[in-house]
This record gives sequence, structure tokens and C-alpha cells, in this order.
Amino acid sequence: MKNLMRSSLLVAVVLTAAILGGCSSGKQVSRIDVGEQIDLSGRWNDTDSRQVSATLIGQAMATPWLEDFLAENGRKPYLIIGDILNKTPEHIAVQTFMGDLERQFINGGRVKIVASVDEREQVRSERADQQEFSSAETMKQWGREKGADFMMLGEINLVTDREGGEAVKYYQVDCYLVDLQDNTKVWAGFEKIKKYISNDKYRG
Amino acid sequence: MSLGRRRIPRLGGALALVAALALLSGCATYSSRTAALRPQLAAGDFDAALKTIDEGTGSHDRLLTLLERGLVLHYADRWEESNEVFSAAELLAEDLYTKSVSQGVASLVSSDESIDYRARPYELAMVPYYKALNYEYLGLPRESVVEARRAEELQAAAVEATLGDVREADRADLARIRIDPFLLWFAGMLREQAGETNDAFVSYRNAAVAFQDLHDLLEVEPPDDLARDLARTARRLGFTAELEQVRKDCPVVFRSPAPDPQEAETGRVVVLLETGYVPQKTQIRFDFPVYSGKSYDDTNAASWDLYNGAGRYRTLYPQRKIEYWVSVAAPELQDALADPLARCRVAASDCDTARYTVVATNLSRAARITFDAEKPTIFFKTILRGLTKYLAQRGLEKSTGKVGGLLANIFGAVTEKADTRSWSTLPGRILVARLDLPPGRHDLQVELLDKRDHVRGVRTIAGVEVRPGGWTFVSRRLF
Repeated sequence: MKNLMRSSLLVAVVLTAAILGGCSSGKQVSRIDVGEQIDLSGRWNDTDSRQVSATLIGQAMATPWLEDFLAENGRKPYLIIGDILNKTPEHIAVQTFMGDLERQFINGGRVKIVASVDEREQVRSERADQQEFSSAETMKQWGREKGADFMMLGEINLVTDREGGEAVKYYQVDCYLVDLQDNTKVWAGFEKIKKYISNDKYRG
Repeated sequence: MSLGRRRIPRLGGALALVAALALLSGCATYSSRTAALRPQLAAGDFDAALKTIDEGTGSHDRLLTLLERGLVLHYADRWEESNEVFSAAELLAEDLYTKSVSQGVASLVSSDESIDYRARPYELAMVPYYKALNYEYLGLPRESVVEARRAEELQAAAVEATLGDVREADRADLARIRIDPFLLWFAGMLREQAGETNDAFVSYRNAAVAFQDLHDLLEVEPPDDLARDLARTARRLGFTAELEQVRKDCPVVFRSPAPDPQEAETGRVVVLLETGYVPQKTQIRFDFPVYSGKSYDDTNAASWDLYNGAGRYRTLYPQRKIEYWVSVAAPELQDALADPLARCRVAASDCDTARYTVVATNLSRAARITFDAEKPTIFFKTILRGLTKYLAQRGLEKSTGKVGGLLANIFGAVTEKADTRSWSTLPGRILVARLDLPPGRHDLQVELLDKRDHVRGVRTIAGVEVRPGGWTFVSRRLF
């Protein structure tokens, strides 16, 4: 009987300790390589953004529009990244994706990128400030901005097929380069990402 | 040692165990632990409401905590925080698809509150609605469209997951409410606002079909404005034949649509008035008999047997002697008293336009349908739990003597409680009125009307901004 009482008390103490102390091992933080692929939820993530932008830039640079433009104009084309529309039921950081595209274009060195509308406003404000406060030899002049030759537009779509704890997600990113002079599309590219997500019905 | 002195350590040990179990399970049900929440919300005391949520929820209520917090933060105009919390809730809801076997086993000897709370489909479906409103208020209409897309897929997936836990014979009505007609209509308006006319038409058409099919079951009123929305978007897209088909399929939606005003000259104001509360679950207790000499080897079969005999169990086995009466606790859905508010008359103080609201969504009804579908399974599990506890007690008594049996009995009694968890701050109904107003700032007068159309109160929604050809969403909770 004593043993039973001791066992009861032990169980009581253990249960109480578990409640008060919690059973979690606490938060852990570790630094990882920014290029490392980690898929947690199955939603669009940084790896998708980098992968798609790299593929699209590769496609854009490998098609004849660029050589045609160089041959006709004798200079690199100026590009502006327009709207990439998110038409998925996920909140996608489109700005990050556009940033990835822009960076890869700039670093590729074969085209020149024009600042976005918001960035241009900031630059113009600074230039206006220079007209009043900068020395004449360093002051930048009005009317010498470069107008873009092409605008990149695009959209991200998602089709999800779900059954029980399984889902297949199919992202398709379509991008176009539109000639700002005559609205012709000079290049169209796309990249697809397919993900299979499964949730076990039971765990231990 | 005398018998009297030996009883003292037995009692001490038992009490220690009971104390631990009380700590483990909590004696009070969720609805009683959070009883202060609704009055605090109605009083606008959001900090106190958040404190009640934190104190009234446990480790198995993480999803519930997030849902309650998200809504309180929404009403507190802390839209960004509300969306962060709701997003966390959605991710957690996905993770909770995987059920814990150990929690399931623990629930058989304690209570269903030892299982992680999974939101009901009508609850999950409301998350994108509130997130969309938050994004609208934050001036991020593109993000609210993302929520519109989510709303359309989320409820259907949640109903599928819930149906898996419901007995086949009880599924019919729950299976029908895979989508809330109002949420489809709301998604259409958000899409039209974002310039996605084709997608908006599809949402409106789906909403019309859902209103046609479900208005009786859900006790909602198809809004006239939906017919106008269909006509307008169909005209823009040149969908004459498609519109005719919807008109033919959904006569209840096209009863008497008001004419659509010139689009560019006015802006549309969508007034969403949330009233009442969803019915809350309370705990009921009932007893069932365990018969001498009856085999309980197959506890599942025995539990269904007892469930089917509930209410007439005295005549089930009249020839058998009752060995023990097992007392168990089960949840019961308490339907709210009839809302004295029948509808509202909404008007801009500087315009002649006045519109009456319709009951566009009825969460109380959705809660009732869901509970009725789940009830037999819940009661079966309750009886199974009671039987398991009793048989464990009997077994322990045989192997360790009366003290073992007594401890098991105390364990069973202390942990026995109903799972009364639900998203308790959700409104019971959402009333909707749409006004077409000239551009500018308007103050809206909302008259609260009873069933005889007598004015029971007036609320003012001040400073509603209307843009030409634009959409403005305004929501208020009426307490």
C-alpha cells in the first residue's frame, strides 16, 4: 500500500512539474546559409523567388530581342520592372521577387535598369534640393533621365489540387517584355514550380 | 497500524493526485473560464478581453487563442497585429490536420479538452473575411483580394476534414455548407474592386448558386445587390448568355433587383453589421448504466449500443441487473435567444438614399448544423470515455484493491468535463446593406429596427470616404 501511495504522489509531482515547467525544449535559433533551401509550409518562399527570377533572366537573355536591339540601336536597352501581379491565394512578397529580377538584370550587365516610380520620386526630390543647395559643378541637371525602352510585366498564378492531407501546388510565373514605344511584346517567358505537400493523418 | 490511521495516508495520496489532475485538466470548462470575454468585448475593453483569452486558454487551445485574439485585435483597430495573429492561426490549422494519437488516448481517460482544438469549418472560413477587412482598412486592397481567393477554398477544405470525423448518416446538411454564399459574394466585390471583372463574375455566379441552394438551410436572404453585380459585370464582359443562365438557375436572387446607377458617378459603400454571438457550448451531465454480467470487451460497439438506447435505456435490458451508473459530461449547443434586431435601415445623412440590410450570413445557423452533425459522434465518444474510465476503475480495483479503484474513480471524476470550446467572440449574423453615394465624405445613420420596424436605436458611422467608381467597406459590431 505504501508503494501505491508513493507511486501516486510521484505521479502527482511529475504531472504538476510538467504543467508548471511545460514540456517544450524552448526556442532555438541557428544561422543558416541564405541559399539553403528550407520548405516549411509549402507556400511560396525565398527559394522560389530566387529560382524563378534566375530562370526568367536566363530565358530573357537567351532570346534574340536583345541582340536585335543592340544591332538596331548600338546600345544596351533600358528596362523598367513593372507590376508583377500576384493572382494566387497566398500573400507573396512581390517586391522581393521584383528585386531579385532587377538585381539579376543589373548584375548580368547586358541591359540597364531604370529606377521605379517611387525611386524616381525620391531622386527627383534630391535633384530639386541640389538646385538650391549644391555647388554648380556638382549639381545634377534636369531633363537628362533615361527613358525605358521596355517594361517587364508579369503575373503569378497558383493551381492547388487537394485531397485529404495531400496537396499539389502548381505555381506558374509568366513574364513579358513590352516595347514602350509600340506596345509589342518582344519576349515572353515562364517558369513553373510544382510542390507536393503531405500531412500525416496521425502522429505519436 | 489501525484501520483509521491507515486511511489518512490513503486519503492524502488520493488528494495529492486529485490536486495534480485538477491542475492538469482544469476543473472549469472553456465557456466558463472565458465567461467574461463577451461582456469585455461589448464594453470595448479590449485589453481586458485579451487578458481573459490568455488566462482562459491552455496548451491545447492554441488555435482558439489565436482566433479569439485575432478578432479582438480587429475590433481594437489593431489591424496589422490582427492579421499576423490570423495568419499564424491559418498555419496552425494546417498543421493540426495531423492528429495526435497520444492526445486521442489521453482523451479517453480524461476529457476531449486534452485534444488540440481544431476550428470548425464555419470558423475557419471567417478568418479570410476578417483579414480582408483588415487589409482594406490598412489601404492594401491587393492583399484583401488574396484573402478573397483563400475564402473560397478554405471552408470547402475544412468541411472535408470535419466530415471525416462525422458518422456517415449525420453528414448530409454539413456536406451541403461547403461554402458560405455571403463569403463568395464578398470575394466577388473584392475582386471587382481590384479590377478582376471576370473573376468577380465567377464569384458572383457561384454566390448566386449558393444562395439559391442554401438560403433555406442557412436562413439567409439573397441580396438584391448580387443580381445587380451579376448584371453589371456580365454587361462589361459581354456575358449575355451566361447571365441568362444564372437568372434561370437562381430565381431567388433575381426577385427584384434595383436598377444600377451610372457606374462612374457614384461609389459603392458596403456596410457590414455584425450582430449577436454564435451559440456557445455548455456542459450537460448524463448517466448511463453498466450491467452486471454484460461483456464490454468491444467498447466501441457497447458505446454505440448505449448511445442508441439513450433516453430509453431502462427498457434496454430490463432483465439485467445494473452494476453501476456512470456519470459523464457532454457539450450542448445553447442557441441564443432571438435577436431583437430584425434589420437595419442605413442612410447617408446628406443624401436621400436609404437601404435596408439583409441577413447575408448566419453563423449561428452554421454552428447549429455543424454541431448537429457532430453530436452523435461526440456523445458516442463521451459514453466510450465513461465506459473506459469505469472499466479501468473496475480492473484496477480487482488488481490493487479498493484504494486503486478509489483513485481511478477520483481520477475519472476530476477529469470528466465536456469540451465546450468554440470561437466564442464570433457574431451570430452579418447584416449587409449597399449604398451608392456621390464621391466625398459621408456620415451614415444606422437605425436598428425590431420585427415591427420600430426604431430601437441609432448608430452613426462617421466620415465614410467614397471615391467615384470605387468601393468602400465599412464594418461595425453592434452590441
